[in-house]
Amino acid sequence: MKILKVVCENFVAATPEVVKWNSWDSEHLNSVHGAYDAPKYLLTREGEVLFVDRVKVPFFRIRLKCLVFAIQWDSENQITYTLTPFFLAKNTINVQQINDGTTRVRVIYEFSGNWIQALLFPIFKILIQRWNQTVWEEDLPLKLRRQKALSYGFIDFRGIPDKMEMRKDRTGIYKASIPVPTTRNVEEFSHPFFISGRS
Amino acid sequence: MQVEIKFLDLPVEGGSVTFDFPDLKQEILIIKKGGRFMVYSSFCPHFGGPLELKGDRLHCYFHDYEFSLTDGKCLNRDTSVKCSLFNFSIIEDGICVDIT
Ligand code: FES
Ligand SMILES: [Fe+2]
Repeated sequence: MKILKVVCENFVAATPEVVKWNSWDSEHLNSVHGAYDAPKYLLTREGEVLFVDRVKVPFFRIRLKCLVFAIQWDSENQITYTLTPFFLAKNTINVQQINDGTTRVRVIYEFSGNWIQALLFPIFKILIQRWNQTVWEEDLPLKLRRQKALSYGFIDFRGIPDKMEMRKDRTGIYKASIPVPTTRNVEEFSHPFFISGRS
Repeated sequence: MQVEIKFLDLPVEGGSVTFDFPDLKQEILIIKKGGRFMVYSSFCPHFGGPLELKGDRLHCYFHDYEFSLTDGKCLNRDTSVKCSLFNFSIIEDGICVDIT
């Protein structure tokens, strides 16, 4: 078995919790990236999800059916396994605060393949780097906006508090709920195997 | 707390303008429709994305939620989240919005 490993690194003026919110927010995948159809969840509980979906292959016009398992492994690492008909991928998102205002986001992409698939790894490597950059640029406004909203005292599903004295900077106390709560969408949770619980 | 916006800075018919007040920790979206101004918090009540005027509703591109211009209710999701509307008064050279 051959392994391709690609590491991409970016920096953002937002807290690690804002970065985690963005990477665990399943509802933006379609509206912002157009990369997924609506996922069909099989399992959700605190810190982990399993779902089936069709994911768009970067820079090609095809969609691959895939099984995705994502887990918040520890406070700094989110790990995602994606199984498609052609390959198994592991994706680690490492989020670390490097100073008061900046967070480093390091994504480690790993693909396993046989020696024939390994012939394509050099092309894969270029595509993954471009993919990472595209996704980063699409996500950046979400992270910055969310950081700003929290600094104005924003409360999820409510908005900015009405009273001035309630508008306290919440960037330091905000903790992302994982998985990020979604509004009720019967379709996404309609699979007969779906289970949900607490760890 | 009240803020004043001059007529010159207000949107034209069918348009919208956003004003940020970092000291007051609020950002507002003013639209003009049918000759009337309406003022909203520009933070989408879902997760804070930027609200924009799209046709006859407010839209947030983060997760594609849409809201009613008249009562702020969400129009395309099964949720009770609502965007905030502000009262304002017409003054000599503009409008005065109460963003408390
Ligand atoms: S933040 Fe606006 S739709 Fe989610
Ligand atoms: Fe994203």
